[in-house]
Amino acid sequence: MRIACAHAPQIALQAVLRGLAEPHEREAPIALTTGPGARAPILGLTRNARLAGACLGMTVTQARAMVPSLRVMRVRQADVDAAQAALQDLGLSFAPRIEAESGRVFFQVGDLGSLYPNERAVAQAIGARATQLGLAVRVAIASSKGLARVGTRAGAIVILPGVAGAAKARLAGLPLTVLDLDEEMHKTMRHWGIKTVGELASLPGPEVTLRLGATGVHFHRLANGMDAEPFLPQPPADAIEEGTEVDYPIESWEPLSFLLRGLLDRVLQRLACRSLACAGLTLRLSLNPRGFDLREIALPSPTREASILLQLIRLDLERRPTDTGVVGMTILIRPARVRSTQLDLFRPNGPAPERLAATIARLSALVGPEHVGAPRVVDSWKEEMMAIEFPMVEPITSPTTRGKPSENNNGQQATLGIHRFRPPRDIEVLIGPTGPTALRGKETTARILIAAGPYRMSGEWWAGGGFCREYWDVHASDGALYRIHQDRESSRWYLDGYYD
Amino acid sequence: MLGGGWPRGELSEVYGPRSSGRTSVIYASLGAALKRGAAAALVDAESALDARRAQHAGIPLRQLLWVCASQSQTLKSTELLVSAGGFELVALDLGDSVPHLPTTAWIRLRQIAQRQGTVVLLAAGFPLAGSFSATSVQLQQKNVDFGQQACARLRPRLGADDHALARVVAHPPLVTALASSVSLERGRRSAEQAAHCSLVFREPLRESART
Repeated sequence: MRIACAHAPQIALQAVLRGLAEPHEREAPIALTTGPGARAPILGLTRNARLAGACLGMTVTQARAMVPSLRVMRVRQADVDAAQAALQDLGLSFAPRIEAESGRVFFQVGDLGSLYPNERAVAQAIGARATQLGLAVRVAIASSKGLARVGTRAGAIVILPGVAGAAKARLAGLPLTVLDLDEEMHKTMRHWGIKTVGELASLPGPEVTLRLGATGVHFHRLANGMDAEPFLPQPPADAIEEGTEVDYPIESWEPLSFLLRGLLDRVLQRLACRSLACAGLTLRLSLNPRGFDLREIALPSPTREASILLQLIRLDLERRPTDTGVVGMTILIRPARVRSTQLDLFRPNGPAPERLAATIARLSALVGPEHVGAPRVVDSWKEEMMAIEFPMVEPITSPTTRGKPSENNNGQQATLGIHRFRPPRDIEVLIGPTGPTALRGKETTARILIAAGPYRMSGEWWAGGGFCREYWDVHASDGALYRIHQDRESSRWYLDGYYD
Repeated sequence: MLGGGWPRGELSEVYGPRSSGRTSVIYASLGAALKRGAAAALVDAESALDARRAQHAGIPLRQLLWVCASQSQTLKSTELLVSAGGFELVALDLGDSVPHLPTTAWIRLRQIAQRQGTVVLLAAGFPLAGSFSATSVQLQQKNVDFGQQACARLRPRLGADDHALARVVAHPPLVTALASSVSLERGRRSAEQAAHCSLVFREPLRESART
């Protein structure tokens, strides 16, 4: 079994750097703190900040005295979690099963031989994928988890051979720091004059056990290229989340879209790593000075197009703008499998799912989301009842009819439709000895020439909202064929619609 | 009569008074398009769609995109749908409403339809698109057929228990058919094709009445 370990050093700093929209911003000297104030200690520094003279452990004031152009940023746990999740997605882009720990992800790469010429190429591919996700990682491939972890401390790309003796030889020249000894063990080694892994490996095993106990045996075995730490895979997270905060409230679309675009790019990169697409997203906007605004963006089909998602968010914000400025935003993506499209030679091409999603969003913004969708028959005794549901792009079944239309359509029959008034219009009806004789309402005022009925229908009394109606089909003097009904409880008449 | 259906990439209109069969023609056109596997949409200016009858007319409801727009939004909604591309038929049912639309609106809609190859079918009480429509069909009600037998059978049962009756008959089959005369006012027509014909629209829910 070959295990790869991708290690993101200073993951808190990397998490903050991932949030910077412009790449050139990462070149500036940046320091990381946990809290506000001038006395907050520096927890992380970029290379440029370190070269300029700032050191870990300094206060913000001290660091700024050394580096006037130092940019101080606060670390958010959400950012660190997102970076850690991105690291897991990195593993999932190479293997279906991963194991994660803080700043590291382990996964099996033994079966990637047919895709890459050698293990170094695998490691390089892992590094390149991490760069796409906004992370800088060290990669090691070894025969066990512990050795891979040691390898990530030894260099940017380390390949430890599978044979224990060869791995021992590869580790022999490395300093003891790669084993990450605890303080007591480190002091002992220094006292014994042992500085390299090879020197530790050459110590006799029984003597190490006697003097250093189980911990010593563990490090001694590692130094000898032997490790028995099991690989324990964990299930990946269902949802993908990314967020950011700003120091000042944003009140216009342009700067907001700039930040959202960065967030979406990061989220979609992570989705691409897992060969998934976005089936819907939840946008949480933190408002100034407090409160939040939650928005659900539905999609008719999964997509990985950032521009489409950005457009849907923009349309939603235009339709329902926020009351105050935005000081933070979080995007939660619901992942789904990428929709496979197989075009039919004998079927017309439908609209592209992404364009359809954007069109539905525009229509929703224009007429309201409750007025766009696919009609649905409701299980009800009231025949006017129907519902509208969100349109989903589903594979259209095979054409049921094919061929030329009928040449002679004289006398051809079709289904009789009805033009409904929704809700039914209130009308007045004049009743004669044989039934309705005239009707008057907002829609029409006419004599009734023919009246067919009554047809009495009642139902849904078992559900609490019962009804009892008498239906009539009437041919009015204005030429229309109306369907009317009388509510038996209130004795009021309603115009349901006309046959058309 | 149309010689192969509604012309693709053109604006067509069907007009007539109430109960002349406009809605039925739209249902039939949408049903035919969707059954072939094409994408179709209905812009409904009065939210007048009857889902049960549409289903009986052969419209797979889950594949129909239904937009309930107000009078002022109908044309914009239609433009958005046609511009999206991929729709074979976009039907615009204006019902009895008479929107005050500038001539340029029809020109623009026709241009978009031509570009996307979409059939735009307009149903209204009056001819609205005029010379901008490639095909214009007028409907006129000719005859109404009431189901006398069904009514006669139902009447004696009205005194019976209401709930039992409701279980027996799901929908009232009072009108059974509507016949309309159809005349092609504008459109391509070969010499042997008639300019007039008649259509019979049958009540679809009559079958479900188990008396």
